Amino acid sequence: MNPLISVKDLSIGFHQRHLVLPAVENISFDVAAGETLGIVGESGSGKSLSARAILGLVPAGGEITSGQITYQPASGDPIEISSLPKNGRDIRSLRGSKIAMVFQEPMASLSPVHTIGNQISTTLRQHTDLSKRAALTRAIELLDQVGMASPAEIAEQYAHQISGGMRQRAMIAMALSCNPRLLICDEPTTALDATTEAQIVDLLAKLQADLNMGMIFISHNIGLVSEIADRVMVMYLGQEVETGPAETVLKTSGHPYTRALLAALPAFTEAGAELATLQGTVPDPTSRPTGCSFHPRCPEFAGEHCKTVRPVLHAIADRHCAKCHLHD
Amino acid sequence: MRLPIAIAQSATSMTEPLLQISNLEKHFGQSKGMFKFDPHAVRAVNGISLNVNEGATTALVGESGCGKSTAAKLISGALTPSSGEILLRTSDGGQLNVGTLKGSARKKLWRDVQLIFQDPFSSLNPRMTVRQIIAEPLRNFGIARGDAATKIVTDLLDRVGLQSTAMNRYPHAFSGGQRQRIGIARALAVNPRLVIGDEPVSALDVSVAAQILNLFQTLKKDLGLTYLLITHDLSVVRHSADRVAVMYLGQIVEENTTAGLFEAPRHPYTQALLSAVPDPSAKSKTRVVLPGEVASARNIPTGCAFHPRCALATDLCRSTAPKISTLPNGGRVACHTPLETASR
Repeated sequence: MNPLISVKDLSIGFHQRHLVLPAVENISFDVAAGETLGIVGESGSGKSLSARAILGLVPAGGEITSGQITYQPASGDPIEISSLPKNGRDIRSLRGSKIAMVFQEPMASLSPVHTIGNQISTTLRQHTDLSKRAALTRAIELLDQVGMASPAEIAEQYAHQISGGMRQRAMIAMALSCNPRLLICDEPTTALDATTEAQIVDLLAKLQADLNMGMIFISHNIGLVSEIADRVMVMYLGQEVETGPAETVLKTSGHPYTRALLAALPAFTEAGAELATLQGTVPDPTSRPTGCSFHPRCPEFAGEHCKTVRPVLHAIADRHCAKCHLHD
Repeated sequence: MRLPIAIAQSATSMTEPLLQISNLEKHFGQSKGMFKFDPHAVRAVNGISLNVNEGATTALVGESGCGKSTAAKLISGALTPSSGEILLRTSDGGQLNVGTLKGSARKKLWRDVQLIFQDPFSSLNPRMTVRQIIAEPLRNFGIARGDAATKIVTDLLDRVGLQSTAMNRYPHAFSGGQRQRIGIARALAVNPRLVIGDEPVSALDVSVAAQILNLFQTLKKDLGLTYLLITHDLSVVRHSADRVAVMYLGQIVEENTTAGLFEAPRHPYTQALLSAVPDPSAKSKTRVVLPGEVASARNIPTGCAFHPRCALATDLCRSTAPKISTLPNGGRVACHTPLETASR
């Protein structure tokens, strides 16, 4: 049985003048049905870009320079997403239906001039042959499924009339409308309050288990990811630096960057104690360091070869890999 | 969730508080039809009392719409309270009533109280150099000009971890973390006694936020600053604050030392907030998920404002608002049925 989605050696570059800036380099991951992959990284690490590439949504100026993204439909042959024409019929029939996405900022993703019910039923009618009335009934069912107290009323309201948490629920209802097999959540709770975040994370975990979806959960919050994900991939400057089961990555991190990310969390540090920090900031992709991209900031700098030789992914335990010379 | 017990008691906590807030209210009006005006339409801050001790970090926590930022604006003199008092102890031993200050007297307040903002991209003027940005308060308050100001700016930049070569560059040349450092240097330029941080690290990446939090600690130690930290992030609070006040719909529902509050929350809302913090060290934990949404400050529920979301609500909670009462351990809680200390 093939995994739902399989990404192999994916690289994405942006054209600038006469050169191509690599934004994502050689990343590989699989997501099976019923499994959650968490992708963690700071701004500019390429985590959103990799996920958007799955939907064929690489922004203008960028393109997939190498690698494959393969989607395995419920029946039939695998589909090579990376070679489908951009915005062609094939990718559009997948996007929003079998592969759906929940974005960070629900206010910016919802239309301000259409009612919530209208927006969900439009998605439904795009991908199915339901009548207008049947689509609206289904939209109300979906709103009920995502835990809205009075779904029929919400369906008639506009995005600005409901709270942030409810908007995100409406986005999730829309993503679920065509029974997706893979749900990509890009920082779905970053714009929400703590108690609302707890509600949404619980809802996503429950829906995923009920519907046996594959899920990709992107966040900068390694604590949150570790709660919801089965496996975690840590990214730095467009590269995968560590992948493994969530608990293993957290407890026995194999890469200095992962260890540093965890140590920088106030939740992990004793009250009042100094937080462990990384020196410097994430470098600009135009001036990527030689050798290991992380070497100028690495607290466990291992020697000259970190500056000159690019590390490769080493298997350090069962299904646990890290890209670091410490494991050479 | 296991939390280390660290009783953070600063040496100065026994002295008189730097800032005393009592029964502070701020209501915003709204017109209702052509000739009607309801001056109490939005009760953003609805009677809070709080002391901020000198040399300590006090955190004001709550979700969006709870009135924490309005409280910060009232304390910094940017808004005038509807009622209540904000008393700031001045360096000469006197007291200023922040709410009643006007004109030049209010301007003087900003030598003592400074703000650090959330978004380092919108809080710095893009058309001023870093030197101009940091020297502006020096000039406004007649502290220094010209070469003397440049020297102070160099010192400030050094203090916040930037090189003096940054001085002649514009804000766009800096990353988010560096810009936040510039904002901090600007706040420190007038040598304030109280620094209010309104979500100072929530726009920053994890590793950068850690650098800024460490900088706050260092500055507090070196300069004896008093912080009022406004935030929704409880892990930041647990790490940096000495005392915490939890706000819900314009009121303080619980207040205690950080260690005391995290160890034994007494208000059901505090308990839910604490359990919403993702804890990487515990894979499976029972999370208290609150039903429903935060009510609007336009339409505050009767009785205890939290009762529609509270699992322990009784008829008393629905009809009568609880008064804030002092606990044996020095904390305060506003609840008819406070949680027992061992209930977590």
